[in-house]
Amino acid sequence: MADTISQELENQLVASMPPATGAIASMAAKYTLESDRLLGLLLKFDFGESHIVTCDPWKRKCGGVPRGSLVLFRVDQRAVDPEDRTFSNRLIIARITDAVPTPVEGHVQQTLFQVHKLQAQLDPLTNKDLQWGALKASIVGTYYDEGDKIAFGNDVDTFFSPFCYVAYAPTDADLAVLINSFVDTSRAVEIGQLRYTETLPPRAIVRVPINIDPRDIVGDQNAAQRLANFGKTRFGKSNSTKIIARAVFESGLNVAQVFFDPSGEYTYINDQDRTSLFALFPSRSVRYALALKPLKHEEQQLGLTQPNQLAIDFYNHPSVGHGLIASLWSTENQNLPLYMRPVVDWASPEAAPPRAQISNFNHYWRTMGMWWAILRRAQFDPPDNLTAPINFPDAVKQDLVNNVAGVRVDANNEFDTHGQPIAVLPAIYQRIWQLYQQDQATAAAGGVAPPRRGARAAAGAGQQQLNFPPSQNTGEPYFNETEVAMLRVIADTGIGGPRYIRPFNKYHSVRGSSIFDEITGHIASGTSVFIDMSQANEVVRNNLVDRICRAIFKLQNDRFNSDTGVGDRFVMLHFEEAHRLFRADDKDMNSIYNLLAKEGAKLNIAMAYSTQSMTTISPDLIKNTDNFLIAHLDDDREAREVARKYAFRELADDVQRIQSKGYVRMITRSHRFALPVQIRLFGPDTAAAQDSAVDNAPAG
Amino acid sequence: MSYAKDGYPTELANKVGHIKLIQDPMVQRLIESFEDHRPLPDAALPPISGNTDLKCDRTIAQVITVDGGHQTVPNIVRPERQVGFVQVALQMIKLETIEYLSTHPMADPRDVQKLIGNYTHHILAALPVVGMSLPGQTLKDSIRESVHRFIAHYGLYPALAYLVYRQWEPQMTKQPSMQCHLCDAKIDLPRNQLDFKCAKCGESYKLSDYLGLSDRDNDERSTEETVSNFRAALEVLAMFSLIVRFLEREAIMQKTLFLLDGPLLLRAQLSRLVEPIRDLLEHQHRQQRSAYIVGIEKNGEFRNFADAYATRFGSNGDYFIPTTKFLVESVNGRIFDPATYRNRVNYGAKLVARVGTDHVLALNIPTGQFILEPQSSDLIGLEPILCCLSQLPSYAYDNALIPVVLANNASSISNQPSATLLAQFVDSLMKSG
Repeated sequence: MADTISQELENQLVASMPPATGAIASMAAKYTLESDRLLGLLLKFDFGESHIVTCDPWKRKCGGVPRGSLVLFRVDQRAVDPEDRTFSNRLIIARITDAVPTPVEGHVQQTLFQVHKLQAQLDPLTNKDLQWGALKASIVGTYYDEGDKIAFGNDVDTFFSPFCYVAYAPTDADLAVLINSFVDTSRAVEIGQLRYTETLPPRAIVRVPINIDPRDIVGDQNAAQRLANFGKTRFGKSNSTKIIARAVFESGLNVAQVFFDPSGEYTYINDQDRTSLFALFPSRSVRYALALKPLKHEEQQLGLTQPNQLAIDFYNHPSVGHGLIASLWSTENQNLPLYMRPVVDWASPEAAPPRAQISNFNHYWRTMGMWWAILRRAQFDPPDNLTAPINFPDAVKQDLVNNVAGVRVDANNEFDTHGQPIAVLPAIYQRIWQLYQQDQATAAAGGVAPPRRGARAAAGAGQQQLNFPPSQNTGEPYFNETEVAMLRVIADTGIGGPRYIRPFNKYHSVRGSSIFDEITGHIASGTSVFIDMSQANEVVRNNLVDRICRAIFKLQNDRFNSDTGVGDRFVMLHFEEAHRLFRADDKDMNSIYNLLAKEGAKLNIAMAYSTQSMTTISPDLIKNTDNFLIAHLDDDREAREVARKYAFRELADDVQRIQSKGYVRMITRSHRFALPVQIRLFGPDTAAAQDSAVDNAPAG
Repeated sequence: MSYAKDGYPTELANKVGHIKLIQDPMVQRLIESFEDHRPLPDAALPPISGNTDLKCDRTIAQVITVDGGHQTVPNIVRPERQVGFVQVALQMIKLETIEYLSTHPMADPRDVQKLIGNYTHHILAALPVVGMSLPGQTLKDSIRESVHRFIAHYGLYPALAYLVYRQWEPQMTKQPSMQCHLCDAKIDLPRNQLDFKCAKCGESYKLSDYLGLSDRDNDERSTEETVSNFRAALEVLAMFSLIVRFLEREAIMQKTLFLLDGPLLLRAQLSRLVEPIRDLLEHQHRQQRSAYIVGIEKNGEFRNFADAYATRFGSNGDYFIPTTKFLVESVNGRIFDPATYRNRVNYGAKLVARVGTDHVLALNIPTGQFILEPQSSDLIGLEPILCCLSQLPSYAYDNALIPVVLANNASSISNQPSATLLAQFVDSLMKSG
């Protein structure tokens, strides 16, 4: 009787206390032992983890307790002195990590074993006993009121004995408030919903919207941010990129986004999305494509126009131009003749070696001259004043001066090795082809073996008669197979070599060198740029991305060093397959990606990079990234890499286990701890897409 | 096996100590000369006494279970100062509650606690055992005084007086009497009086002294047995408090089973209550009024016998009621002489019954007067009791019953940490006093 009276008096005392006014205190007041959200009572509690004793009915009332669930601990006011009751105005948040044995686990197991052995129909009281169990939860932090603001600490300041705490499952509404409490409400964008399990529950699922502040992704002045988007291919990385990019578009921030679109899904309306990022924001964007495609009906209806042609100066950017021809060959030609194969397979060198490396220099220009001659024969307009510093054996040069009209000569009236005009290159190489043919004939008639790859220089008189003797050191023939094929394409009128190259003329422009200036011009005016690279091979892509990034870096660097500074003008680069760009082993300080990783933040260059390989990406880049989206990674090494990030230390296993598209572990600057989130589906109707993202998320 | 304290390991016994014993010829000869008193082999077990249709009589709708626990503390560390704590619980559970829980397996434990915990009554008591006493009193007097206070506090005197003074009889047919512990004079208790004196020496007595709980104690030291007997007295008085109160209310008695965790047995001087109880139940039976009482034996010789006998049962509802001779000879392993045998401690006949596929119980059911060869018709309420028990099996323990498990939870006192905490409680009270 006395106990009942004491309890009632205690209740009266609690009721008489002035109600707490803070958001957290008000929220905490709803969580009482009588609440339907009661999950359990604490068996153990320390700074790092706790054990919760619970039972099936409570778990059921709370909608189930999947691994990773966020739960709240609150001090039971009746368990502490009145002066300590302010502690109950705080909420400790913890993450369920596992089940643990109860202190009477052995006893329960014995009973259960016996029941199973007897195949007994369990009586209700024993059934109730067997419903009890214990869960382990790791402490995430503490929410509390600081004035009229919500504050959060990633720890607990002090704690009472476990007996004083009660565990609750927060309501969806409260959890949404807690999780999103540091996201600026004026810019908050919902990007998905909290999702604890891949297996959807049979009853009501959790409906906790997850918001982000686009400012977290873009960053602050001189401190641009990075977003890492990790996950195996086809697990929704692109969808996440679109959702994030859309949030940035709609944020009102002064950001020009640049999309290096490897498949065209950001640039064009597609069946999967039923829209595209460009289609949603056409007035604030411009799009480029290497190869123009007929405009889709849906795009015509929206009034969209063809992308700008991403024309390349094939002379000055041979690797891009040649790569483009190689990757687009089948779009323009029915077949690939055998004699053209060495030309198409040629690995165009990126840049000329210095003149000091005379042998390499001469070889480079000998081949490049042939390539330019082919382009010229295919009617590719050359840039003004472009010359090729080609060189040959003296006798050949004299022959060229004597027999080829238009050959440029120097002051001594000798072949000018400092540069021959593009216009004369076809004629030069046609003569070279004739001389080469003579060598072949001479070798055949005089018993001198024709130069063959790998043969040592032949001794004897016959060798003296060759126009293009093999190397005296290696025995290598003067022209390799690729060069012979190029010569034949240039000079052999019996075949139609240049005819195959001519269709690619439409990708060429002598003003191609200024395309990068054009792009940076758009960016400078705050216009976003979509670059469709779906028709390009990796060489072309990398080359273009490299050059555009350099141009952007220069733009922002110039702004940074200007009187007005870079201000609030941001550029956000979206990279895919980032492990190929930001390589872990790349120490080259001339690499634009190293520059971006190290200097980009200062220059207001934000980056969102996607990859399926965390382990091979630059560790420095990851260290300097605050925003992460991690989808399924099916590799132990990758999972271990995830676990190395403190926020994800308990989630690495889930990253390997879960296989739903768009189901990510996420943290941004505005979130104090990692969250399991189902990213909404990108599409024209975002509300409908959001619902279907969770309800219909396909496994695998 | 001493020394197991303060972090030291338990002293290990000699693992080959049995060899010399087995090889000793003197020991061998002696054992060969012993008569074999082992329990009967299966084939020699007597046949079952009968079978009850466990579905035929479901008049009992609620069970009031009485269970107690006691703990003497400190027990080892501070032998110079000991207090005995007793906790008795009465718990009522309605069969409809069990039915509800069966059909609602996900009922919230808070609601379940309300359903079950609402009908729990505790009797809590303490007795000095060694090294402490009430001011100005000997230990023995302190025990007498303590027993009186607790019985008075918990309102158990009406039941005690009803039994001792046979208040169901207009004229008392048997005069209760006791010995004065000072002058050994016989004291006839004046009917219905709670306080009386020795006519010879004038020593004052309370009716609780009739229980004789401290009769075997000296002025300095009591024993745990006294605490145990006090617990048994509280259990039986608590149960009969309800029985006496509703004895004539058939609406209650016909649907209520009183279940005692343990045999229907009162030892030592407490056995003074056995004869009144037998007579009361006989009287109640003759009046054709219900009084359903059953004792459950969870351990001991009869429980062991029940396990052995279980193989004889073919179906649920089978039961075996042994004769007293069978009990004495085949269960207890003693010699039975009908001419000299007296039973003054039991107020129920023993039987073994199968009430469920996995549940064979060792039961005590009152017969009224003691009967050497009880028949099923002699056991008061055998059929409804077995029907009721068949609805209560629990799988928490071997052959457990739901109400017993619940009452045990409410009344038991564990050695750790309860006993330790009680010891600290006593210490703190003594210091502050």
